[in-house]
Amino acid sequence: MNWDRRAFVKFAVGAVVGLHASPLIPKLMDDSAIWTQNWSWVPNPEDGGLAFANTVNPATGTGVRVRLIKGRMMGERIIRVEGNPEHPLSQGGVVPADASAVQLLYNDEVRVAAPLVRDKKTGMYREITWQQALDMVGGKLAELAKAGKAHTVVALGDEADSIHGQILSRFMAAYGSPNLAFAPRADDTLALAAWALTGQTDVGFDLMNASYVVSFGTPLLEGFGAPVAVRKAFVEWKKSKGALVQVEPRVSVTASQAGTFLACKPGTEALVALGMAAVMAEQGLADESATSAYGYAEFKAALAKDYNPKKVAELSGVPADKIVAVAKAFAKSPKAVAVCGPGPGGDPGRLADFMAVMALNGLKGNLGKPGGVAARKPLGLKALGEPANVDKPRLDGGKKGMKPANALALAQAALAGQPYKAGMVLVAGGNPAYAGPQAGVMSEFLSSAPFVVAITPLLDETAALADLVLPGTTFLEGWTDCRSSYGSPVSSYGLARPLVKPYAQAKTVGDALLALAAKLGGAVAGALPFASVEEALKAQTAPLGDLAELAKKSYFVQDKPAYGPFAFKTPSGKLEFHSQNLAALTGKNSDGAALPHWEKPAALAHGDGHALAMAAVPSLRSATGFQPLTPHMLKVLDGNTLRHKDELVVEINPKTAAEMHLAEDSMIVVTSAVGSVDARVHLYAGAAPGMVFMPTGLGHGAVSDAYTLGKGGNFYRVAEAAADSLSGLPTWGLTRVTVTKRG
Amino acid sequence: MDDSKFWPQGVKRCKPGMFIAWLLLPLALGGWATLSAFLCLYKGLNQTNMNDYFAFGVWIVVDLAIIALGAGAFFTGYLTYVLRRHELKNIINAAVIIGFICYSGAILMLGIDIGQPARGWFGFWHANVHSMLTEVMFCITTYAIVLIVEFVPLILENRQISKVPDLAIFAHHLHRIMIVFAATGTFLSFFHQGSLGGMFGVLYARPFAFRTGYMIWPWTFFLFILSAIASGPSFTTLIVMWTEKMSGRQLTSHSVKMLMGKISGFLLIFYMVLKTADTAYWANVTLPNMGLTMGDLYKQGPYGEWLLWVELGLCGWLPAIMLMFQKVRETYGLLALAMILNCSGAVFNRFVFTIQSLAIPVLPFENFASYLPSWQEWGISAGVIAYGLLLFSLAYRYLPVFPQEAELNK
Amino acid sequence: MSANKGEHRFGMVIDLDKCTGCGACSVACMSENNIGTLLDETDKIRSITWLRVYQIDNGKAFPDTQIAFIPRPCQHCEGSHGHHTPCVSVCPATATDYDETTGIVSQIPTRCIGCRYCVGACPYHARYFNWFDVPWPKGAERGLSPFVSPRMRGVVEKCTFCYHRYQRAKNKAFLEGGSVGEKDYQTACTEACPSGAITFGDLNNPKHKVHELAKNPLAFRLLERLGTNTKVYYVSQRDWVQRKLDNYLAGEKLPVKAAS
Repeated sequence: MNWDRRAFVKFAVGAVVGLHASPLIPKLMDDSAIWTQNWSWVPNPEDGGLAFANTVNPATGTGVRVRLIKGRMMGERIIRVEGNPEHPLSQGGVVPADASAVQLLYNDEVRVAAPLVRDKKTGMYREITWQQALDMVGGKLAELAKAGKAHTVVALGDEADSIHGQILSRFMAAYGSPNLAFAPRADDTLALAAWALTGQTDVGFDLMNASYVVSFGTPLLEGFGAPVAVRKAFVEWKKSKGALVQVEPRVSVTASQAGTFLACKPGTEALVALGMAAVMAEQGLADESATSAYGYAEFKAALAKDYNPKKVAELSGVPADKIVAVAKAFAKSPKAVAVCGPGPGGDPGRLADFMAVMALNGLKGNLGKPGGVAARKPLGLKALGEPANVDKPRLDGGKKGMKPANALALAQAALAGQPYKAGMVLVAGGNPAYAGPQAGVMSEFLSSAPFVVAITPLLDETAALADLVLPGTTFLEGWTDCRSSYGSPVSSYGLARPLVKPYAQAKTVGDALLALAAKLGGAVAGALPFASVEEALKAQTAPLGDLAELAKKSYFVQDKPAYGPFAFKTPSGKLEFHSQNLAALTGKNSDGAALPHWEKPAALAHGDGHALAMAAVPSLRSATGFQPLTPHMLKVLDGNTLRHKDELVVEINPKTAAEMHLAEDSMIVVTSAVGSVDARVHLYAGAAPGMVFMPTGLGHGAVSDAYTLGKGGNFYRVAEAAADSLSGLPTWGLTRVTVTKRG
Repeated sequence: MDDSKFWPQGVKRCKPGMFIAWLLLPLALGGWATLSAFLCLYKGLNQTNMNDYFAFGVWIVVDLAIIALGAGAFFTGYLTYVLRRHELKNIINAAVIIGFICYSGAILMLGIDIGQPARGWFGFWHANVHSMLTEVMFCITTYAIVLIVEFVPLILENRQISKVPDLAIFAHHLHRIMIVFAATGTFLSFFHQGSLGGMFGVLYARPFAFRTGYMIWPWTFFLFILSAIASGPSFTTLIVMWTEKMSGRQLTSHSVKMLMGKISGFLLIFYMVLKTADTAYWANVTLPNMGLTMGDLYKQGPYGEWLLWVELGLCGWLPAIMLMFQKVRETYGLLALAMILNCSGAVFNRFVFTIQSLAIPVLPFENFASYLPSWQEWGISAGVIAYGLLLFSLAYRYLPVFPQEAELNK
Repeated sequence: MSANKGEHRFGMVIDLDKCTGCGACSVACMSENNIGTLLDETDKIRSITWLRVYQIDNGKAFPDTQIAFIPRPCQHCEGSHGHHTPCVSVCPATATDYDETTGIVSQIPTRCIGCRYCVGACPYHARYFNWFDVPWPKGAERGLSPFVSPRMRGVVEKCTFCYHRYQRAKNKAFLEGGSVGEKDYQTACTEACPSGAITFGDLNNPKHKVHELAKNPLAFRLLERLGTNTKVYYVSQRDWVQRKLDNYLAGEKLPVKAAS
């Protein structure tokens, strides 16, 4: 062939045309486009019929709606938890814990699929059947009972009022052990405070109708009560131009949204309340109902002596003129209310503090009035029945029948063997090994107990210490219920039903206990004559109507607070500033012990100059207490909470940090008397000087998923819980810590 | 082993052993690059330290830099074939090879830089005509083809290959139509050098990069063309000078280098006048309209005003003025220094537009994020350099790149 | 090409004085749009959060410090004319587009080549590149929505104003005969917000709440001066919050006070 220009051009053109005419190019293009869209490791969610169902998230009290997809291959599945617009309190809103709840339902890596026996030496789990598991636990219980050691069985529950909590109470009582403790809650402290002053136990704050609200450290916008309901109400309330005064040592979200922020020293919130009370009493601003109350004169004298504004200003750091101004505005406002608790980090709060705030409300005379303190109307549920009293000494030293028990004291006594050691531990809900009270002690208690059974949906810290793990359910796959949330002025009841089949072999706590009761027979079976939790609920909710109907609606909410004169259930029959109820309970009647008063928090009572006071950061982004942190919640944590893969971040005031030669991102160790945690410093101008603020919900160990495992440190490992001098409940609002550099 | 029969006619080359020893350097770098490329393609771009704040990293800097420096090919080609500056024939081959290396290297790099390399052709298939990047993609690819066409005859001129009659004729025909390719290349190059500048100038929500302009073209469009044609000839000459140092043989007459220096110098002066005016307008008019001062953009991390002084002063005006002087151009070392500064200025400019544009937060409440390339990113970048070294070394050894070489080394 | 050619301009008004930074909007968005979790979510410059909630403060010392939050979805810029958003105009593969009928900036991950030019073009950091394959935990696919495809590695994604919800609403309206009402099309974040801080609707429709809200003199847009012409408005009475929404020269910005 002769290469001339023609031949060359022909060749070139021919080659190009030929290549383009072949299917090679389009085929390769098409394939490459398709291939990149169909990687086998990118999930392809199955489509199907869409359905909605209402339920309630008992952890948050939010009325939620669930989206279900029914596909041919995967069956019915929940793709989303969103707000229920029909719910009168939460009105379609959610918090992160609600919106990401599906992540706890569908995560095979952390769910407990079947009963697991843990080998104590290797820590390895072995699957067994429910039948074998029930035989094992039943056998142990029977054995202990036979040996006369039934009372040495310790049970830890999460919510006393829930159907599962009630079943647990009845189970334990019938079995013969007094050692039952639930996760400590501020609800208990508030109930005791109200009971001390008024004899009522079920009270709430009618914030919605108040025109002047003074909040003593209450995280109104960061987890107070049912958080969604509270914020829906808050927005409405703000429209009516109500005034909010926030008293706390940290510029929280609530403090930022408040019209007035009174920055106080740690632990002195209630002291400011008493300062205000002193102003009201001294200037004759107290309501008539208060001046005629039992012990008013004594209270007034104590206020003048110990809580005059000058003295309070000195101790709390809040200027006296501000205390006077707020007290006057509070007294003069037609509808003013003072609100307290819950403390940050799930702290149940100190009874004396709560009493001080309740006393301020008493002085204002707002009890039972719109915009004041409301006594909640009973729901009219048919309780399963008071559990029988057990005639044995309680490990925590509490009196017979007195609720609630102190889980921490119980664990400490059992560890010490005083008055006896635990024969077996049953953890029915919650995660005490992580959230405590005082996680270190609870973990030690669980690791040293001879036999630990945990009913839990997740392979959490408690499961890691249990000898037998029973698969529990989430609220999306089993029956459960919840009561009025903290501080709410109206009574409410939430009911969750199984919306999808339970994961693998999971059972609700109640159903597991009922199965166990049936196994044990005798008194225990007699005390729990229900085939299932559903049946127990049927009995309980009978006054509210048909269970199926109620479950479909998922909630019962009273439309407005029950206004009207308070029915004082005190020995004097009226409001008592000198609480005879409390005096009877504590046995202390003199020296003002039965009066609303302020005690210096133990964490501040001693220690050298270098020590700081540590408190938790309240936040709806992170989890509080034993509630697990979902992967999506972890995603919304910013660099002020978690940094550098897994470093916990604590807030310190820039001045305090400078004094300690710490800078932004300094590596530190926060150490308390009970534990320590590694952290990084975040200089937060809104943190009170001399304090360390630590986020909660992080630092999960054990077998939690790859997202949360080892991320940050656990607040509950450092927080020191101490029994409150009045209520006996563990509190961990403040902990004395030292901060040292590391690394 | 004797490869002397493959050497160009009448020249000497180093011993094969020495040559292979030298090649170990690019081969080692190439190994590093291959491992990096494998990781990036197999595991994804999480192997880099790029992130959503530094969407572009060192790769794009290298890309833009080598494309700017590779502009020597089209501009020298334009001067040689279209404007018929025949003395440049003595360096045009080197310019073409460097251009080919730069462009093909850039394309290879881009293939790894995009998150979905298998979809790279979507830019042609689903082209968005409004995007400067589309223009860049079209022009770079087409121009790379032009460069191949320009490079092929040179390969065919190898002493042994040219013995095959068909191939020799093929090469001959290609040569005869080279002016067409040179003209096409010039046209394409003008556009994509401009579009590369336009890519940044159009980012109207990125105050650091944004420039006003003429019709749809921001000023950076024209400035990038200018800086590319100002630095390209310098870079070509520098590579030739480096090769001279390495081989110990003079490859082109000094007058050719001086001419390249003069071309570079004049273009650089022109560029610097416009660039300075552009910077002044940007600082005094464009930025204040956005509520910013120039100081706001030069206070983050290491990105201080020193960058501006280095780019415009040390690597801009200084070489521009240096190259204006006959004395400087006559002195081998000073000419090389001025050209190094000139090329560094272009690289600095590309770096600043790519990295600082992204590094400066625009939202008042956004934080400054820092970025340092990962070893995989350095690996790929080193790979492009290794690819250049390898290709140029082979070309120099076996192809008649420098027509004057035999003459000058008699 | 002129602005507002289409009948709708969907937009958002976010009341920063109501926002308490709880992150519910962000999490609701993640569950609605199948957004995964990476093993290191503290790496915020690689983590995907279509709607990110920023925390800002007034820079004052204790106890005068104040904090506020700025939820930042995609701002759905319109630019000087529809297609001229910072991102749409730069995408070489038409993987992101400006829908003239709704004003929504769409994103087609299956067409994206992953060049990240749009990521660099967006001053709001609203665009996210998939640096990783999402490490979905075993079983997690049961909780994924079929209405939004999970993305593959190497592509860009961003907030779409829950466009799939608009499509569903349109289909429903078509079948039932009627039009898409304000309530029929709401984004997941709007619904989720427990403070009711987010309002979503058609800015062109006088019957929609956003129409009036956006006209509030206290309504500002992020980086408005750049000419991005966004459709997300932020309302705040607080001067220091207003100032944080855009760049200002010294002495340039005067506080805007509420009319009341």
